[in-house]
Amino acid sequence: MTDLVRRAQRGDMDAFEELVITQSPSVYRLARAYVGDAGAPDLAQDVFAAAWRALPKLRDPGSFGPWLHRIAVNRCRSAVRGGGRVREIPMDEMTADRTADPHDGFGAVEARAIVGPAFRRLADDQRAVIALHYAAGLSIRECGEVLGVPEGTAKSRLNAALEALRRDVGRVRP
Amino acid sequence: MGRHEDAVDVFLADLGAVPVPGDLAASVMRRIRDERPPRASRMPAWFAAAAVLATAVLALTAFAWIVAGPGPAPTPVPSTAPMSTTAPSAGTTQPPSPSPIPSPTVQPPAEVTYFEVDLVAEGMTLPLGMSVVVGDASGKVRSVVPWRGQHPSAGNPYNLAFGPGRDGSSLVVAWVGGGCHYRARLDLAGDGATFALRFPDPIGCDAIGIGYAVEVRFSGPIDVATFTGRWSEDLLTRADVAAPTGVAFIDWQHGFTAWRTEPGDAVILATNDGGATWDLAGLGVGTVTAIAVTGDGRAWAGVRCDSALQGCFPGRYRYDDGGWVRVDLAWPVALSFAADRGAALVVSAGSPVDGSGIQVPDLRLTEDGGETWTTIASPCPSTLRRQDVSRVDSSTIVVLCEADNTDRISLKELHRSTDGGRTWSKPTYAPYEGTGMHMDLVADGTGWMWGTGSPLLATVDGGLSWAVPDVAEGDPRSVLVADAWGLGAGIRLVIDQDRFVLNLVTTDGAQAELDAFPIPCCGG
Repeated sequence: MTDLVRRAQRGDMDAFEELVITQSPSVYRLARAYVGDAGAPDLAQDVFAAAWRALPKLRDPGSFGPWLHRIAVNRCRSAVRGGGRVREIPMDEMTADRTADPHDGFGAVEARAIVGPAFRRLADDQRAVIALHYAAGLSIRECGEVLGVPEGTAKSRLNAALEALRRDVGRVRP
Repeated sequence: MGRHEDAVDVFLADLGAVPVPGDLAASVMRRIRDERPPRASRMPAWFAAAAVLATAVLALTAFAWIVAGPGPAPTPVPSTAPMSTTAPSAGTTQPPSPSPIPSPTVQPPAEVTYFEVDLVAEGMTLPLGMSVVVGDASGKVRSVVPWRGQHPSAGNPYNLAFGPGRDGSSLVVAWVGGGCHYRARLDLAGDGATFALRFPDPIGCDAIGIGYAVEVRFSGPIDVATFTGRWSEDLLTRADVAAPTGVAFIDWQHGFTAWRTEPGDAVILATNDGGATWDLAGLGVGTVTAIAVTGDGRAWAGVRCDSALQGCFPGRYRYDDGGWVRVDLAWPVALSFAADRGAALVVSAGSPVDGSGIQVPDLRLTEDGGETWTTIASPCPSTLRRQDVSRVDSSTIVVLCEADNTDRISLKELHRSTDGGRTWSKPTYAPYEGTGMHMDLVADGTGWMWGTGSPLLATVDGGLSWAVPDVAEGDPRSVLVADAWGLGAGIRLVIDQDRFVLNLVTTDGAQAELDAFPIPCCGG
């Protein structure tokens, strides 16, 4: 991937497209965790467009993955905060694609309705580490790289986030 | 309860299992191709030929330079470059007469002005690829000649700056070559007297330290104000997502706000009219971790770097004569100056060069306006690494310690010293929620505390007691950063219907009418 990044830094769009193909699943799922199905494609596009513009700044091509996901997290945070261009659409309010999504059975929809509001009430950093680990599929170490914290901190942050999420879900829907 | 835990598990599994739209990558690439390419986008058509010429001249002259060898030594670097990365020394830290706020009178030019230099260096061998893009109302590239100098030291931040008028209005740019692609960017001082180019730090790159430079001569005088105006305009249109990271006001009229734009620029805006209008007062790469002003009106800022950001120079910066000068390498996470210029305090991360990660901070004091610092024992337990500090006066210091687990009700401690940090006590205060807490106190004992998920708290007794003032809060998360500057009042930076605005709150419950001015940073 480092070679692709170097080529993309020199303006090779074919190389950048390969990076997009490789990274788009995790970026899309990360965006979806924040803004839901309807907003995720646009937000993912925003992330890659921003990455393309900023790519010459990237000093270490080997750190492209964490760097890209850091952009994604920042974009997602801005989107749900209202400062960005993407409007937050809560996942539990979206039902249009239930039948089209084989993974989106009754259990998933119900889980979104129950857990989605609690997920959105999490602190920024907690939401980020959950989204990075579970949605984007990053390892704990990679989460730490994205968030700029040691691996141990990322792990404890994830545990605290999960605990807070479970606690909130239990409190909201006793 | 078990049912709800199951729901959490299903929710988490669903996050990573959802199928990705098949046309996503294609859509992304269509959008990118539809957008103007980053480098070529701003090149005026009439200038393309000049750019080609510049490239050819560069190649020839660089070849001649290599054959002929290096020439005279480079011109020294002025100390007034914005976000200057000049290596700190004792001589550069002496504060001249303060001029903390730039003139707000710079007007954007009628015609588009842009300056950009790109360089692609492939290993050690020619040819170099280079484009020079210059456009203004009067300037054309007259020639591009090699700079007869060799980079003094690979691995050092490096820059050059010349005021207009030198050698017929010339601008000298330089960079470090090797296996890197550097996109140098023009930094401009707000006072209109100098402009400077900041160079990426080659540390971490496989550059071997060969220096190249060109001197771009313009056919007409360069109107620095024109460049400054365009630069500001470009800044505000280029960054479409930004988050505030700090606010610091000297008085009712004069203040700064710091922003982090996506994906990594640090922007500082200054106002001279209480927030009605804003001017660019600094631009760099990184995150402004703290910004504060001294009693005599000088501004200080800390810059942190994410490790992957090229061109970012962490450290403590001072705003002098319209530009930011890095005075040391320790980047502070909290800065607080008492009204007495001779008393100041900083909490700084332990690793000054590599800004990644959170380390146990130091607590440092200065009694001479920030020139020299003494590290003292922090009252915070080692587990509470997220800290903020306020220097109320020469003897009173308040430290807020918080766990780094970002829980909504994170563990916190408040410590207060009235003997300059020799002994500490824990004030009694009401428990509060929130995370990422900050505070700011001033000499009359007025102070504020705020954070994510927390109401705005106020103190009128120098941090001994805290209460929620009777201020209409709305969404408490909207309180992003606040700054106290005495007389029972404080500046608050909030989100109001997708706009960032300033307003004024007081400790007696009133929400005074500073008005809610939109801040032009940095959204579209």
